[in-house]
Amino acid sequence: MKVLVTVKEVAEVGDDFAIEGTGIAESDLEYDLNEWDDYAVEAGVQLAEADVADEVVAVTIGPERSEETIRMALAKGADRAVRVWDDALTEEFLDVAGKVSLLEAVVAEEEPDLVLSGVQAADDSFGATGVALADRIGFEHAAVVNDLEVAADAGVANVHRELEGGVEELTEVDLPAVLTVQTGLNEPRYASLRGIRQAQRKEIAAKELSDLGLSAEEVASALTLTEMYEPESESDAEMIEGDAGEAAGRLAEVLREKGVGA
Amino acid sequence: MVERDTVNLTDQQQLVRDAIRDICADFDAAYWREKDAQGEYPQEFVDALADGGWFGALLPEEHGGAGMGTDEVVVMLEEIAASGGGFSAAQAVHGAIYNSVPLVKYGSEELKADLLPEVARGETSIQAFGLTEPNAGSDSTSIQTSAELDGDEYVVNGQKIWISRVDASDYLVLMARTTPREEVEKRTRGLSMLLVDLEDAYEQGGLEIEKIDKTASNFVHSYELFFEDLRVPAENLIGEEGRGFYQMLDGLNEERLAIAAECVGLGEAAIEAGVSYANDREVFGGPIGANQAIQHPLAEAHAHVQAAKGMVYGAASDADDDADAKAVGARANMAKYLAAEAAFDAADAAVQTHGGFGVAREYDVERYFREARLTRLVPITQQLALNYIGENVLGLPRSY
Repeated sequence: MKVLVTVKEVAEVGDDFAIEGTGIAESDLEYDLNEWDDYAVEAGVQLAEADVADEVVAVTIGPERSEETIRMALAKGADRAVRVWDDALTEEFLDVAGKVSLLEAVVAEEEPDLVLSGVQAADDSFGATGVALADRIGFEHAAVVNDLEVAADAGVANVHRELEGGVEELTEVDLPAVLTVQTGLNEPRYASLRGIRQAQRKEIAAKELSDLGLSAEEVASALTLTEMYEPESESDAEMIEGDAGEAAGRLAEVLREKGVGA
Repeated sequence: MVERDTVNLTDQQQLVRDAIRDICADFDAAYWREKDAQGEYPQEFVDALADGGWFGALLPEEHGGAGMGTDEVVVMLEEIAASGGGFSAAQAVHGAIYNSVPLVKYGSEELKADLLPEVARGETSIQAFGLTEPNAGSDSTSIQTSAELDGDEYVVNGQKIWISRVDASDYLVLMARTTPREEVEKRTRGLSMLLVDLEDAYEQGGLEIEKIDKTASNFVHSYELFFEDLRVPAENLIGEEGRGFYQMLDGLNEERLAIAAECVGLGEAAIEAGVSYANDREVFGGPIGANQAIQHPLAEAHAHVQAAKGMVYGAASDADDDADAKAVGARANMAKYLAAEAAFDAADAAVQTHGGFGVAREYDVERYFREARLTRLVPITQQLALNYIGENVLGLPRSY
């Protein structure tokens, strides 16, 4: 069985940052592997260690800089990686549909039995790529998976899904499938030193649009990023301190002031 | 956060940095503060590194190691120190990486096959190196601990002092005289390197240890060692009898660069703490960092720390390919000298920035300061590093 794990390098900002046009100043950004994807990588590697998966391939969409991040996925145990980028992608905002087109082409080439994707990315938080990909490629899918068991022979994945209100759904998904992975599914490992060493010898195949048989028009975004701004806060949050008694007293006072419960 | 990624790293160095940052993120300032206050070895942290195979960094791949070099180890140790663990956190694991090096270079095939894979897997530790003696500090060839061959065993007698991590180690690499100083042509001859199985030594009653009460690097314990007729199998000789001193020198420059990197990391931790406090602390209606009396010492120390870092990394990337040991030695000693001075200035500025809180444990800078003071003493004093530069780099007459 082959597992394809989608990973994304996400930008993180500290408390202070400057907005430049529709973006954030490059010097204020730090890049890291998307937290959700770290769990997806771990899930893939665990399947390989349990001999359920024969190969774990990591795929990312990003410029050359993002190889640092995808190399970490290799150090943690993915067998090889595919990085998709093209000069045509640098100018425009890449929306979910565009990403799905790129990933669809990679899926066509790799023919995985299982695609693992983080529930969402920590930067733009669309939370849509995995499910939209499943829809496009006609795979079964389950979103927000927090427990996973794959019975490869039977061709099914038994998953627990986290629903609103603390409800969990237990369900069976036929393979091939796309699962979006929630944090807490497992405990992502640290990269081992040998893993880091081995990562140097693993392949990161760079693919451009033409390699995937795509044109710039086919991945053009329907969305345009028009403005970046910090939302103004309309009210201040009050942090209630003190022990439970004091805190409860103050909370009751606030609620009374606001007219709650009269 | 103060930007400290000021050096271009290779892909492998980047991975080492990111992986170590991942591990260190689970051991916060409170962890190190508590370990320092309790004087308790950071076993959980050491185990996390051991599990990841980090103590096999310098071991060849055929023995299960990672086959990496000085340029990766400097990143690892700098990151550990800079994470808030300081010089002590790096020192807690430093020996685990470096004490196996003579074994790799000079050990018999049997010793290597037995031990190195276990060291690489983190199951066996060679954390302690026994050189210093009460009557022979920096003058290493004056050591008096003797090892006499009796049948197929060496019999060891003597005393060692300031031997670190004996409590955290399975083996001790011991330097002893196998030929008395008066019987050798050169004082650097007649010394040998022996691998001592510590559990066996205690069981024999041939070794007693006593912990030294000290005030810096509290969670990395140092000991006095007393050997009395300790019997060590002859096959535990590392390398050649009588060549121990030369074997010890081989690799010392690379290790010194690693120590310099630990100093850099400590300096960076101190600068981070100082800058963060200078931004947050408000007195007379504004952050104290607005005052140049606060800014300048931090800025000056930061410049020195980053300059030292540049030198450490430059020398580290050349160290393993550079055949000229003297050139590596020159850069290693200069880098260590500068890094220790810079770390001290950084810690001092951080303490001063904190005002009275500078001595409060909860702000950590007093710990950094104690450690920074130590970096000017170990593994050799700053004065000895200057002696080296004077004599070996500048070609001035030997003064001692």
